Amino acid sequence: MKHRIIEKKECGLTAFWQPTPQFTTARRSVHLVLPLESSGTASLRAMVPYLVSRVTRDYPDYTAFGRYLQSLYGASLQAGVSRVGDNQLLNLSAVGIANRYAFDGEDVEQTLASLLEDILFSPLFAEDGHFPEDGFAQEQRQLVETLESEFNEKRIYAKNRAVELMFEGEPAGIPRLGTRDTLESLKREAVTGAWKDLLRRAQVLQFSFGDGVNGDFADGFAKRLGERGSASIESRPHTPRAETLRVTEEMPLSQSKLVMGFGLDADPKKRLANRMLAIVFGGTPSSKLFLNVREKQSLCYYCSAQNEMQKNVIFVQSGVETANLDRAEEAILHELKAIQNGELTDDELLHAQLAMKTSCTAVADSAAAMESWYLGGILSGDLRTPEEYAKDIMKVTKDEIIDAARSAVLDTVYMLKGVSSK
Amino acid sequence: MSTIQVVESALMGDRYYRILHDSGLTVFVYPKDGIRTTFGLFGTKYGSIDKSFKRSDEPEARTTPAGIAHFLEHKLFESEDGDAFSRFAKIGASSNAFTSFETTRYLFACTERADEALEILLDFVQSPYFTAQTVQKEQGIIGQEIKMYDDDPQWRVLFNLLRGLYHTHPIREDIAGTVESIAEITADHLYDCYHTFYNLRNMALSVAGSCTPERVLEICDKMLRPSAAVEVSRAFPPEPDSIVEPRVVERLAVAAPLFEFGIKIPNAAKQCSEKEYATTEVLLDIMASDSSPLFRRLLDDSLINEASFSSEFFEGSGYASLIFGGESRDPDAVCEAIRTEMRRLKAEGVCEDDVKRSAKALYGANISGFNSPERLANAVMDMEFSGRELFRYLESFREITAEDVNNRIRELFDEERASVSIVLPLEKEEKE
Repeated sequence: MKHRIIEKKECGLTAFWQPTPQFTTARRSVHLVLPLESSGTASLRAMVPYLVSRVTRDYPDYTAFGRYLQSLYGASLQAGVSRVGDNQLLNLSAVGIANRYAFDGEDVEQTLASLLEDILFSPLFAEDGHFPEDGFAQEQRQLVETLESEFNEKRIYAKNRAVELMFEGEPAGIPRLGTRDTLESLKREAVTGAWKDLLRRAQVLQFSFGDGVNGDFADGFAKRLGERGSASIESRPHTPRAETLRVTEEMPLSQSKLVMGFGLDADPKKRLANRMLAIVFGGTPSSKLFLNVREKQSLCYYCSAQNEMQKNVIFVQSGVETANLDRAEEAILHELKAIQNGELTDDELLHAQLAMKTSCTAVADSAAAMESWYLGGILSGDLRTPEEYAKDIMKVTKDEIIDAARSAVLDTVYMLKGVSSK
Repeated sequence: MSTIQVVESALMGDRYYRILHDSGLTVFVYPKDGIRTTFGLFGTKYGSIDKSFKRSDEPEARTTPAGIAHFLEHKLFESEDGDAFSRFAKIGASSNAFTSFETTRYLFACTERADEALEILLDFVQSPYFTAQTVQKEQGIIGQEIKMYDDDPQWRVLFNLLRGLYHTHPIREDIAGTVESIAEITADHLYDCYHTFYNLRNMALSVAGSCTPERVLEICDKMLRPSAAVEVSRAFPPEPDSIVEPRVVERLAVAAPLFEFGIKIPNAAKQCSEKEYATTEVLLDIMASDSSPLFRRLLDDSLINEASFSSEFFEGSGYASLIFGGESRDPDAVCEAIRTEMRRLKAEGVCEDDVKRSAKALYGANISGFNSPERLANAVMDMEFSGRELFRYLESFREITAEDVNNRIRELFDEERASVSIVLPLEKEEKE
């Protein structure tokens, strides 16, 4: 994959661009990255992408701005907040059709690039120099409702609870949006301060995809950012607990949820083996968890493992009958034990390697996948292309994976126990 | 001899191939230059609504337990000597399947050895193998899948609405069936339904991304086995035009209430044309997209949020409705506002500017899906199974006028046929 990546250290900007004549769409995206510090600052910062993208100086009315985007062939301006490792990522993306599909000849791509730059650096403020009150109230309410919505989805809720418990006391244990309390106690003036702080200190990661993209978008951003010292965004590895933390909560549900967090060897050289361990353990339908816990024992519909590389951990998630919670935990540990004992066939290794190779090769087929790939790479200091990574994956040995499994420590077990409603 | 039709769009500057293979199978090939992934989809027109059906070689319609289409989807991956997942895994391809109300589809995605992947897909879907033992094992797995959906408030709120709208149409039943109905399923049921619905005349193959019609045809010639000359038709009990209940409420472990408000469209025996479908989407966009006056009023009154509020034209064999849904602290107030907006639109109509803008936005949204081989393969198959064509649908957005939309408003907006489904949080004593 040919691409351009440029680091402008003096202004804390890393930019990636890739011409994509094979796509029907164009995409411009920016991520502002700062370490998670507290629920309060997480809530403050989380408001920023939503506030700056709801209206603009040219379109101060929400509905009029929406209509303007519709007339640009349904272009969208998306805001998002996520956590990667110990960092909070605030994202703004502008996505629209590539210019060659614009039947009225508009320059959709350039318009979106300018729009993204404008809303970030020159958002609409009220006369008092802060975000307008109506927008503030709307976005604050909607972030609280996002938390409520995540509670409604029990699979997401259980995983979030396990993450909070496992990383308690670490930045990664701070919820990406903060808590309901910190969201509800936000002040408009403080959010303006958070916006200024982001432009002063956040690492800025920027992406451009489209027909004829070049470094212009990055140059424009560099000029607006100016020279500044930005925060370090290195994540610290997780140190596994000496004794497993066990938390069980009850709720009136038909099915219980089980989340198990394992700590792994934190040596950066072991990252590839850790990732491959997650794949052979529970990453595909040919993995041990799928074949044994689901297919042979019929204990669940889903039972899968994901590696969170920046924190050197693996999470296993499953939905099971309440009466089978302990049996499922034992069955999952049994499969890990099997790998630790060296029970890993050549086929299991090869299938996992080929699955990874295919997903690496397919990264080039989507702008969002390319963005996600290089975003992860920049955050972990690993700028290998997907193709280079795939080559290295094919060199991982069985012994390396078995060693990774042997380093696994059961750190946290979270059970959301379904009970019948009274 | 297979017949090959090139389907082209001047507007898109794009083309795909529709092939009627001499086995009776309809095959789509949608090559995309510069895309590395090959996505293959083998689907049958057999979904959860096909509980009752009539074969052309039998005098009477038959009725089967709910959930067989979905059960078959799980079981087809198994054969006497291993499962299809591991065959795909050997060549680095990923694979999956899904069942909807109307269809069951099996898929693979890969970036190399696509010919082999296509051969595996065509082979395993044509090779049923079920025993009493493997059926029993699957009942446990599917039982957990059903329970997972039982706790999913979005799923529950939708099915409660469908049960409020439809008296007899099987759309009101869960796609996977119930724990009780799947307990009735036997290997014989599976073979019977398999041999009825997995007839190549009732199926379609769709390959998109890195592919050529020549290679796909060659593999079809090699792999497809002749099917019996049997047709199958859907048999639905008569569905009254009226709704069942205007309001259905359930309490679940949720933090915020959810709702789905639906308007049943009567006489849904004939599925609509490309332009009628697109016109309905334009109507919903003008009425309820985030740049609509209705959306703005609801947002300003803190009654909805941008993340969850949506509208949908929910249409298929023997059913059609307009559905609005989302999370709200006061679902009844949202429904009242939707009803008021229906009345206003009926009285005032929409203007040409609104139609052009919404049509342009929907055209753009559709174009955005054309990057993805998965979306393309599914889109051409969706269209085939519902008697529509993808490019014709896309191009119709440029033809829609305010008169078309206003006609549609008059046809569809009938408050007497509206129902709302609400999921509320548990009451205090239930949480304890």
